[in-house]
Amino acid sequence: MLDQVDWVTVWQATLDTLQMVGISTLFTVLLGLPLGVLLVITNRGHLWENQVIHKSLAVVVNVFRGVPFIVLILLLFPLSTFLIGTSLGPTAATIPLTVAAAPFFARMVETALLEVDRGTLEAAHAMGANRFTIIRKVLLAESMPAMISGITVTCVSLIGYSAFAGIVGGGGLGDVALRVGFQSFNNEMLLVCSFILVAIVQVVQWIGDAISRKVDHR
Amino acid sequence: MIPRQPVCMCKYTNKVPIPAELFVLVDERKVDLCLYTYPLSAIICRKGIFYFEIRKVNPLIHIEQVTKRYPAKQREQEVIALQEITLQIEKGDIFGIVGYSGAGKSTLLRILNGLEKPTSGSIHVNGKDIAVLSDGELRLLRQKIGMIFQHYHLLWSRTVRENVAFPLEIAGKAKHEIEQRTEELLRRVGLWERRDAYPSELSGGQKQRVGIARALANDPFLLLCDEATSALDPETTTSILQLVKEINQEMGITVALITHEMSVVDAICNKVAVMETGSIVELGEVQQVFRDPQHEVTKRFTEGLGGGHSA
Repeated sequence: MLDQVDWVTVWQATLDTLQMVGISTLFTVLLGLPLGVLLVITNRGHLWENQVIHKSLAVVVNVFRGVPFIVLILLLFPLSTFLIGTSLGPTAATIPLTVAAAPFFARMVETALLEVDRGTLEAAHAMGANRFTIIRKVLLAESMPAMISGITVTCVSLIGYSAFAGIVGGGGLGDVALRVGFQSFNNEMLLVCSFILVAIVQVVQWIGDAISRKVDHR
Repeated sequence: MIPRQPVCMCKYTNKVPIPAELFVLVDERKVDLCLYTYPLSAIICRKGIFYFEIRKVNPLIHIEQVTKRYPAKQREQEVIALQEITLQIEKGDIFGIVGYSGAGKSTLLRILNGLEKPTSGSIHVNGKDIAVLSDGELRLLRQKIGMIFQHYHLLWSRTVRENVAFPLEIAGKAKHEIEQRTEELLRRVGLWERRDAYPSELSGGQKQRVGIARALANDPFLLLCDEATSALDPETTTSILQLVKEINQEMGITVALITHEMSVVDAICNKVAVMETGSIVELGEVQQVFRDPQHEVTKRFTEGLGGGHSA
């Protein structure tokens, strides 16, 4: 049982996947969070109403979300080559992953922020808070549970995306599952890689739910 | 001679705080006698030289000919929320604004702290013309105007104590000062034991007490109450109104409140404005308006209260 599994390869692939997902989740949040906040506050009647910025951002976000991920990766690999000199390996894969996931996360941030009670915002205005304080201490603080769920969902999606990215040169579990498992008729390898991916998703979801519950005082 | 207690007795036995500017006169200009004639003027004499002057004491809030229109949108017609409103609120008043929903009282209340900008007309608060204030100046003014809401609008991500700390953080107060002040305020509203609870763990009345503590944090001169008791049961309403009254009397904070319940006005207000479709239809001392209501709307409002005000 499982004697056809090359554990060294699996271990390396797992590390590659974790690296890809970890780095791209981090950059997705760093990029998507301000994007989501901007989308909300530039909307009509909000903190910093600006229809030009709002509409342009909405178009950019929709374009990136509309293009199928597998196509987006192929289109963006030249960008990796330009930025870090190579389009191969897990580090190179984080760039298309981030670009694909950031608009997705920005929409989740938008939904989370829109759930914050308008009355609470009015109360902060009435207290004489400036925009920056309202964004930081009301909008972001009050939407924290939804934000954590958003990060969890994004991270899980990135695990799925990372398998795609692996196939076109990023390495990781998806790549091993396809090349060593599926194409070489090594079903055990295919199953083990899939199992590890499922396990990672489970752990991420579990951690995300735990944090979300902890910050939710509604 | 001004009695050093910060209140004097006047008509209808309402206690009214003496304007601070009169104390300044006594201290700086060696005035011996000052007759403060509520509400608008003071007569000041100086010993020896028969000095005599009549000084107009400005009302705390002066609204003149304020109109607010919401421009027509694609499918909606233009809405006139306020129509040529003129009114004054004196220091120490508990000023009630009553009306059915849609009468414009909510807009009127928000005009007072600049949350709504009038289409035309002028608003002076504490001697300042709100229209000419910069954004920064307006924020500073708002820090000195407390506001409480029907649905409390507390931050549920913060504990009771952190909620009360929020306006102090906005005002840039030091940490130890915030700790001291929040304790003081929470003891005042009787919620010190619940300081580490989250709003979701509190009853409606307790939430409103947190709201009040928060509104008082930066020593406001004015407290705005937006239907503050409308979501509460009668018993809790009474205790919250009692608290507002105490705040008015002990701290000399002027109160402006809006409500659709005449019983609230009856309980704590000294003056009342009755509103209908954006206009003030009746305005005056509460006793007088209750004794002899002129307008149809006022009559409907006072009917429910029974005949307790005929004397």
